[in-house]
Amino acid sequence: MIIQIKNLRGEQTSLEIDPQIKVIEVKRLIQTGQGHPIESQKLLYKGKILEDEKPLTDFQITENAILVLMVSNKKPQERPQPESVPQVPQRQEQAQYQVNEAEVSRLMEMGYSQQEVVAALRAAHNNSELAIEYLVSSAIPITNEQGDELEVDEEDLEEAGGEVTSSTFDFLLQSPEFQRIREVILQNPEELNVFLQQLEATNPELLALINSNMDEFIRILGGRRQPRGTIQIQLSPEEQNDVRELIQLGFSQEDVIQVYLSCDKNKEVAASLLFENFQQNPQGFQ
Amino acid sequence: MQSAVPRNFRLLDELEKGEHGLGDPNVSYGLDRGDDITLSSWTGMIIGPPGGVHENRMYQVRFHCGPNYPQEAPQVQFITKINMSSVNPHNGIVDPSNFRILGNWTSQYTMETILVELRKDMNSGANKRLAQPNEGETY
Repeated sequence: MIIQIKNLRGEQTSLEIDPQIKVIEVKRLIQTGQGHPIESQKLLYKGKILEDEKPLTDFQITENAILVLMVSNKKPQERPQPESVPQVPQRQEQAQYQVNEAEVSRLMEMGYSQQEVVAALRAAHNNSELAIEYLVSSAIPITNEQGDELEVDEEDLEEAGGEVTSSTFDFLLQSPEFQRIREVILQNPEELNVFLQQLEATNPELLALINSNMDEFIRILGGRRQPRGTIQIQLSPEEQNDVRELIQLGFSQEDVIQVYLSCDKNKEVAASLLFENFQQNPQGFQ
Repeated sequence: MQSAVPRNFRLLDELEKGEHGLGDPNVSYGLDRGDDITLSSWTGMIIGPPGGVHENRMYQVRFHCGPNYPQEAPQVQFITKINMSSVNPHNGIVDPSNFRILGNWTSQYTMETILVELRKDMNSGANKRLAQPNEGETY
């Protein structure tokens, strides 16, 4: 006799069997034909589960009957670990921004809602002092779960208006985190590369934005220290020494740097130019 | 038996459909006892929908089709224990006032409709995460 085995996707296969055999024999045939282990199979016919040890005749299974086969692929003890090793670093990074619950309840005791506290802690990257500052000043930077800046509201923009402005990077200038990064970079310009590399991993969109507006980004980096349009020039310790010597000859720092740079950092030429063209500072050595 | 939809014609139709598994492959149904000439007592089986607590479980359901079926809805009762908003937790009976298909029954519906709808309801927001009795326990 031929019976049909239909799986849950509606696909049918035919099996030729002896009507007298037990259900378990049918499952064995299915295991051979389709590879599903016997233990994972359940067979249904007319609303009933077919028990392994009963013969098919007990269920009035006849020629061309359609048995529904359900295969349970989820054996709890055999389930693979949901996350594999390569994802571990990423998880650690995220864990870093998971807020500490004890800290949350401590800050909530100060009278803030859980939502505010969590937002503040995230924005402060779990620095509770900073989070308190955000809460007290009720200026919590809006962040996503990783603590990346998302957007700022207009009031904050106006506050910052007197300092550095940049249409493209307004949102960065609002970020206390960015201000800190900027301080670091200003002190040690090599940090900029480190920062950009980190950005590649954590916020590629921002990196792309920076790359396409590099000039503006450099400007806001130097921003608060320098008026618009100035260029920042780095001097080696020897060059700084030269500049200092020239200033000691009685010229203003501004003049000295200007001349020194214009004659290609040649101390002698700069000195003679200065003597020829610039007034020595009447107050003398400074 | 009313002329609108003769009960036995209709039930024999459903019987044939159930035997040949023509409908939704996730539900199965048939007469409880093959020799029941009144076509009253039926058994259905629902394969738990994936993505929730019912995944890989099977639920047996009993239907009782009264003399006015399909003008009147059958009585539906879970045999396998289940924790679900529309099911009485003490006896497994599906409460028509909590289950749209039974509450607003029309003669177009079949037992398969009921099984399919019960299966959908298992994965509804209200039921998807409910803690369930041990697998295979019965009322």
